[in-house]
Amino acid sequence: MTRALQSGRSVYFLCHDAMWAGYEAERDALLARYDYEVVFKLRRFDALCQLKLREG
Amino acid sequence: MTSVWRKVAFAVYLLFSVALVYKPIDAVGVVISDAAEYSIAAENLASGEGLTVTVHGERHPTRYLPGFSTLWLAPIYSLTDGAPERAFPVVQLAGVAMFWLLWLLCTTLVSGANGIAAAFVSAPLIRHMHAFDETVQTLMSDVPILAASFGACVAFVACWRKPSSRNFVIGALCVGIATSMRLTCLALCGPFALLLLRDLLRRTSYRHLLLFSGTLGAAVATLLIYNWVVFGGPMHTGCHYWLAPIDYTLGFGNLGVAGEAMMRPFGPRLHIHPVPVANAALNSLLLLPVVAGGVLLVFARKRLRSLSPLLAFLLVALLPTQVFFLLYPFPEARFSLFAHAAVVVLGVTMVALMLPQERAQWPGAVLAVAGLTVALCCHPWTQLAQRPMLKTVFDQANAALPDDAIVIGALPEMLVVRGLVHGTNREYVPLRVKRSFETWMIGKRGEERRSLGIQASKRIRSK
Repeated sequence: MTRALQSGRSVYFLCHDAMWAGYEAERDALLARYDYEVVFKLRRFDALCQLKLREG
Repeated sequence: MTSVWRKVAFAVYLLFSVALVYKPIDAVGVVISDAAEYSIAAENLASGEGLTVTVHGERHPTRYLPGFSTLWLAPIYSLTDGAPERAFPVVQLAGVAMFWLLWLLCTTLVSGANGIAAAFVSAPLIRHMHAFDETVQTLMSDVPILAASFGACVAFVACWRKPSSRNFVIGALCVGIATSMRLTCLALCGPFALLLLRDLLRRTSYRHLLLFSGTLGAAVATLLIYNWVVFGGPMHTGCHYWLAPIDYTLGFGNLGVAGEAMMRPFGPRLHIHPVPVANAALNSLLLLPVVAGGVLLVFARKRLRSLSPLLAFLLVALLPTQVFFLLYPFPEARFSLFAHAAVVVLGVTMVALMLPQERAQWPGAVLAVAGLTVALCCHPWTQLAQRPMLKTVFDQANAALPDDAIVIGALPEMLVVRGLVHGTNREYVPLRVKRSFETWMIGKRGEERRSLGIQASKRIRSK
């Protein structure tokens, strides 16, 4: 992830619970290391958001 | 049963088959990783880029056998433009063809209305098999493989009763088509080999042997040449290219899970415990041939003879493949789809043989109505227009993502490449909690294997 951030391109993170089923704690630990903003939430799936990463 | 009624019954059955596999294209999504890879490879082939997939900006041969992408999807992609789901009608057509072959099989094995009723009852049961339900709704090769396997089975039954050059060629074509999508389907030639051996011992004719082996040999040779050119050896496949030996070596490690997958044709998914009563009741249909066969053996042994070709086909073709899949490292119910379908057909035809032969249309009609009722109760027609969640996710993400974004996530590589990356300048960096993508070693036979991820990481860093 750090390498991706250093590339200078926009970096997005798919963080819907269904995509991390069983590994939610790892996802949350990972995201805690970065600064992010929510780009959008899907209408029908509240838990789904997409994150734009910035170096924390 | 008069021929008019038979034609009417067939027309109703055909409509019934279409209803069993129908799903609007808008509600179809490429939401299984294998389906994503099949469709990307077919699109690349149709646009002259070979049977390849692009991972981390590098082009690689697809890991799957070439048959499904080449024969089924690429022709549609080369003739039309649009979303990858536009090739979905070929899967639906394969489903209808499979049900038509099921009709032929049932009405050949059991005469009169009872045979027709057997087809009407078997069809919704196969439709409700978990693996069928999952793969008939996306671009997977399982339903075409099932259709080709039933084609081989019907041709074998015809050859058993009256050997003919045409049926041997049709049988070889079906085995060849199935093998081009899944190597283990080559075992379907076993029953034909026994018939040909019988012909050889009786010294009746070598014509069938030449036609069968020539047709099937051409199909297998094409596959071996493809392997040689693409992967560096005739026996070297995409598995050897993409996976470490430990990932494709047969062993007893998955015996329990694979056995569980084989005993759950009607679901639920693996690892779900306890099994709901409805699923358990349907799964117990696998024992129907044992029970019905026992009854027929005791009370009507002569009637059982008409099922001899199907029994021979199952024992010779399916027993070795089922043993193989018990030892295979990827335990999935869909690999046993034909075995499950064939066992259910065997059980249902046995029950049909028990019914009175005189005035046979009455019990047949009752069974047909029962079959329709089963279908109406169980078929998820209420979910016909339901879009897969992942398709909605990809549609909305596509609208939000810039063309050169780097996307990070935990979804399988090919799914995101299909949904968000293909045709753009985006890049996907998959994170694997269990096993990092960077540990994947790829390479042809004779080449030094290299890490896919390291190349990609270097490239991202240098940009």
